[in-house]
Amino acid sequence: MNSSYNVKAMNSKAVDLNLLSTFHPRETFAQRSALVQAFKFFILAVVWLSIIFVVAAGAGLTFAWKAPFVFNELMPTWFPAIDKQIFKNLADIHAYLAPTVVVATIIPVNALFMVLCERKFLSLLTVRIGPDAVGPNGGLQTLADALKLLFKEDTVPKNSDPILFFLAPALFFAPSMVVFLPLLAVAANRLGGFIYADLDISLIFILGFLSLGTMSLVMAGWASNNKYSLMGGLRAASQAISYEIPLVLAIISVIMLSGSVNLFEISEAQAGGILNWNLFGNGELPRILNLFASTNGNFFDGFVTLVYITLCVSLFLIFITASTAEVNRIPFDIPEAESELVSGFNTEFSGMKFALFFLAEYTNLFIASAIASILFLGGSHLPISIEAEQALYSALTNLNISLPVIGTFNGMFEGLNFVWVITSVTLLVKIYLMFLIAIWVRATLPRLRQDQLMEFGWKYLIPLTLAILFLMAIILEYIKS
Amino acid sequence: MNFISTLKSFTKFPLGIYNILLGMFTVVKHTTRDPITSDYPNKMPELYPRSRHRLALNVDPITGEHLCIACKQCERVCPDACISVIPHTEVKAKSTQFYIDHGLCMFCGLCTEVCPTDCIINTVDFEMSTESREDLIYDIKKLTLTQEQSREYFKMKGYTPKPKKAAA
Repeated sequence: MNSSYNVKAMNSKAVDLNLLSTFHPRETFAQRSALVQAFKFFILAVVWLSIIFVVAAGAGLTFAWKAPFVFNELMPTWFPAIDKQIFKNLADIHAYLAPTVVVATIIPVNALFMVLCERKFLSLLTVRIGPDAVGPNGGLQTLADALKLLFKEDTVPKNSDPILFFLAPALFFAPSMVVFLPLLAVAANRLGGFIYADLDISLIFILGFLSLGTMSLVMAGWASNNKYSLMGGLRAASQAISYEIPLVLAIISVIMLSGSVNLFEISEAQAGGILNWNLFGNGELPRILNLFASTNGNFFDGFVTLVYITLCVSLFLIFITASTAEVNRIPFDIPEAESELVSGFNTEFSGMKFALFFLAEYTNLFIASAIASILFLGGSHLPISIEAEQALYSALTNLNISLPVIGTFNGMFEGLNFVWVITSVTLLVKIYLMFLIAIWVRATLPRLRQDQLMEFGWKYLIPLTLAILFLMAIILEYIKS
Repeated sequence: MNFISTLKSFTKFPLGIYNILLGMFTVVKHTTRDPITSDYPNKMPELYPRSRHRLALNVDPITGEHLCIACKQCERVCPDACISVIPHTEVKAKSTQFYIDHGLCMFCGLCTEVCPTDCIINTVDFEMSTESREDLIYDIKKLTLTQEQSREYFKMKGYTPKPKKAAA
């Protein structure tokens, strides 16, 4: 049986068909080993993340610093006849446009990589190769997909509601774009033009706007004139209503913990190492040593700390569960369950409308990961001590970069601190780690049934979170005193 | 009563979380495995030598004579009736034309079993895509192998073809 002869050498003249010629020697798997695949994925992630960062930071820098510099310093010398006040106003407008421009640039680029990252990492977990045809190691696959979607025909089903059908994708995408702004304040470390993105109630703002998206899912389901779409929309509504309660209850506990509803302040409260993260009890973990008699401490204090740490970790798990349900991801993706409803609420959508749904879904996931990493994983702070971080920040603040290449732009970066580079890169990496965990969960868990989902949400998660909220309130009173 | 049973089911939470973590750990272990997907259009898959794909007609590897004796056994046995043999009108044990419709063929291999001279065989070539269904009807010229290919085939099978007999 084991005859691997090479018939390709025989040139068949009578038939120009490659007969009997399929016995090739076994492929060498060295190029495709798991280690090589993982390394390639790592390289891909590094390249794409730096692209995302450079694009967003470039857009932000252009508007926040370059534009004011050009308007305030250069323009008056070029046009001395015009009143200086006009240039000053223009400079202000451009500076305050910076966060919006960053959001508009980062969302599409980020979604491009998120889809690719999901496909590649999922292939790694399920023993496959994943997309590898377009670009080096499939790096441009999603770009090609996006281009394809751009050129696709925009179909509208018969007897549909054209206005709602047109509005639904836009209304689904708009909240996720708005919600991005407060995150930038954390990423940019309250800097320059980003200061107005730093709302006092940014957490409540985000929660309020994210829940608006569900309405457009119902709209999409209703407008499509399709029973599957309608079922998907209704399911999305019921799921969002059920899981918003445990989500918010878990967040209220965190708000009590850090004493603020401002994302930046919540992030600030967790500075200084992994032990200061809310996930590990905001710096109270060492008190658990009181449990052991050898430390000669108060046993009751140790026990309360143990309960407190358990509550913090379970809050994190509840938050992840509820936010996974909020952004309609596996194992809670019943609004678009492929095996039951064709594709759920977006069955009838094609072309750019479908692309908008897709974009918004991944942006919502990104925002959920961002909130999880800000609330529990230390936000934009490096896992190092406060002193080391302060030293790093002060070194970066007084950095003077002069660009000899473009002489006229000298002094452009003067007085500009580069702390935001550290904070935003840290936050980006943390967000993507949370995203990888979401993919990992997707690769592991099967989809829940509709009644199981409702039962889990109402009968278990909400009572559990309420109990945790009350316990947390009592314990915090003891811990903080 | 219902309330108590609900309370009891809360005790299953740690076990559930443990089981989920167990599953997630199993999934992570899969990353150490090599990918099992085959890269087909770029690399040919490894097929077994006796896998049944496109049909072909052998010639005698020594003399180069066509092995078909027009006995029509394959035509008779074919469940799909996709084979049609047209014998030579004057010469005995010789076919002038031989049609196989690969669009109808289900590659059961009955014709190759029934062939008394090992003329009709299954090859391992499976790439037969054409632009029309008519192109899937192969005639004798397209079906017949070269002498060299037949020699390779019999070498692989490990025996020589039976000498050509008179028509049954």
